[in-house]
Amino acid sequence: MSGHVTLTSTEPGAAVESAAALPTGAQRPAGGAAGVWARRGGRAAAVTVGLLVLVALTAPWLAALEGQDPNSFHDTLLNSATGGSPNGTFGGISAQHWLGVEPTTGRDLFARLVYGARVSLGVALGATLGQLLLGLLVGLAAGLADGRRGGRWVDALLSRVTDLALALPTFFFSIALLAVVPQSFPRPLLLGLILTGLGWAPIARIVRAETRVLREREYVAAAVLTGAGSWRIARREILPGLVAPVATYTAIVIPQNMVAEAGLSFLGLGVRPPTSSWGQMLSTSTTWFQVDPTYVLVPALTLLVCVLAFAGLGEALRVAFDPKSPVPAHTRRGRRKQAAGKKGEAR
Amino acid sequence: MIRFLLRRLLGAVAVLLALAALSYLLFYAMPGDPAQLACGKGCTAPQLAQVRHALGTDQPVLRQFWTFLTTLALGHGFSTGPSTVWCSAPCLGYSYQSNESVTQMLLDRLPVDVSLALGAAAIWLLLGIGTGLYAALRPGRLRDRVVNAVILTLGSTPVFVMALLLLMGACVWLQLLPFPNYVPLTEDPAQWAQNLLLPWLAIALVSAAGYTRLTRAGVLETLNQDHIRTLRAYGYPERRIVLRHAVRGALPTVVTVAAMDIGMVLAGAVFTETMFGLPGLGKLAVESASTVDLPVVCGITLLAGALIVVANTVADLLHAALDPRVRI
Repeated sequence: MSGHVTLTSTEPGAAVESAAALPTGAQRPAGGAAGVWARRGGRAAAVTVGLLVLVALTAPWLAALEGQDPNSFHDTLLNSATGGSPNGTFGGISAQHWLGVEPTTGRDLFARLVYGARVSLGVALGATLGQLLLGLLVGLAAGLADGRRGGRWVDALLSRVTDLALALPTFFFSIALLAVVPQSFPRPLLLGLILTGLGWAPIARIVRAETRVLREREYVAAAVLTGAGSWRIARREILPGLVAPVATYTAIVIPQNMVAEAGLSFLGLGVRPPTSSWGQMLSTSTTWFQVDPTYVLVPALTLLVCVLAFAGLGEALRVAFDPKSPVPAHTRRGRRKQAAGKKGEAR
Repeated sequence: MIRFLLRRLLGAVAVLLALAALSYLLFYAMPGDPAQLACGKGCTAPQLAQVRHALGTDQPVLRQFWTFLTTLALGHGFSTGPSTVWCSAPCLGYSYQSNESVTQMLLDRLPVDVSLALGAAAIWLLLGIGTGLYAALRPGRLRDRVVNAVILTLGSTPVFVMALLLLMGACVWLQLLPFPNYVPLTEDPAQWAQNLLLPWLAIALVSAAGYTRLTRAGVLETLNQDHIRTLRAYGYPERRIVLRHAVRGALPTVVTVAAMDIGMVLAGAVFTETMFGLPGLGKLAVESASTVDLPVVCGITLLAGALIVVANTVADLLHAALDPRVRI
């Protein structure tokens, strides 16, 4: 008859549903960061992500250390006979230009790469933050709205808006928006805003579902009895329970946002030269992959490593928050825990 | 069944209407003037007014939207100077750039995406289900961990990076294949397959990851159930248990997700098409966006939305057909 409940997992937010089905941190409050660190893969991913953020933050000093800047041309390093490909092997890698130079302009690739990290990471993290805020607000409002004071209508309205946002062909929308908004608008900000506007819905869905579960708990009922207002309940009672599912989903979303930014810049719709981002660098490099493969591989592999690191972090976070996952045995603490567990059984 | 389809149809119409309204408002009510864009540079004021009248942009926005909808549903006559051109039923207007009918442009591009989606889906299903099964048979062992690591890596690779690496690897370094150059299936099937091989691989390698995970999880869950224990007790060969009974447990989700993913590729694989120069919807979307060709952009957005809605409905139907617990 009505298959609404049984079929929700096949809606566009299928991944979302499974993420929402993840157990909350309530059973295992010490999951999070410690759990990630305790696993080898998680630690490697966390270190890589930390390094990348550090590179983005210290870009000017790193470029100064190399003695280059991302925007000055070096015509002397290019071979005009081949249409401006760099002289020397591997795209002109040398002691002065650690990763070689860009064909046709001779701009330093290392400097462009580290400056590009600022745009790539900045847009991805900014957009994620925006999606989180919007998703949390909408999800909490929909999840906490109850029968009183027309709350059901609030929930229905917000849920339908969320459904619509999930059904949008987001990529086409962002392409169209980027084309329509005038060039004078700062591109990184625009990218962040568009990604936020098109990507908040899955988070809202998770948050709403989790809130519905959490608000039936006794401690929330107790808070209601003491006369706490909705805002206080949302902040003090519900929010802590949302940390595990939202953190896990956030770790999945960051690389998605990074790839989206890179993709849009790759299509020539994102940041434009002289500003660099990894996607922009890839975009200009595609016509050179036969002559100067280094030029392609530098941004491609950087992006790959970065996305992988974030994906690994997300996976580690998911495992850490999952009470069914085994305690990591190869760490000292894990071994001690397991030994203690065995002792306990023996008794 | 019929009630479900009807409700889905109503829902789909509502979503598409909202989508149409949203894209219309966004693209037509934006600061850029479509008439100016259609008319080009060096357009005189009277010419501009004439174009504006022909496009209908001198009307109020709501009225324009109504015209847009009726044109889409019923067709509309367009006057181009002395003669009147009748644009029949699913009419999305005419491109500002080439003056072609947008509907025709979309129809011309669709076969490319159909070829792309079906071929890629065949590969990613084979790969995903195969590796998922392989990993599920020895959970927690080396092969499981290796498959998991490889799949995580492939699955998080951006599709344009994958396409670029494939292109460099197969066409430049190993020189196995010539550069892809789309040939329609009706012209030469062998050439069609050869030229689409790399695009298929690019999409499939990136997409297979999800299927590996779904298959692995589904098979593992089913293998722990009572009916499998019973089969084992009866002395069924393990091979048959896995291939006939355990895979069944994973199948409904796999097929459902596949239907939705195929819908996404049908709606335009922007990066793969751009990278390999395939003349599909995604490439058209990028081209028309960069030339601010609003009718085309609007048409693609609507078609993409429609394809995704249809794919989701098909996914629900398939899920219900494959999983007797799900009723619709």
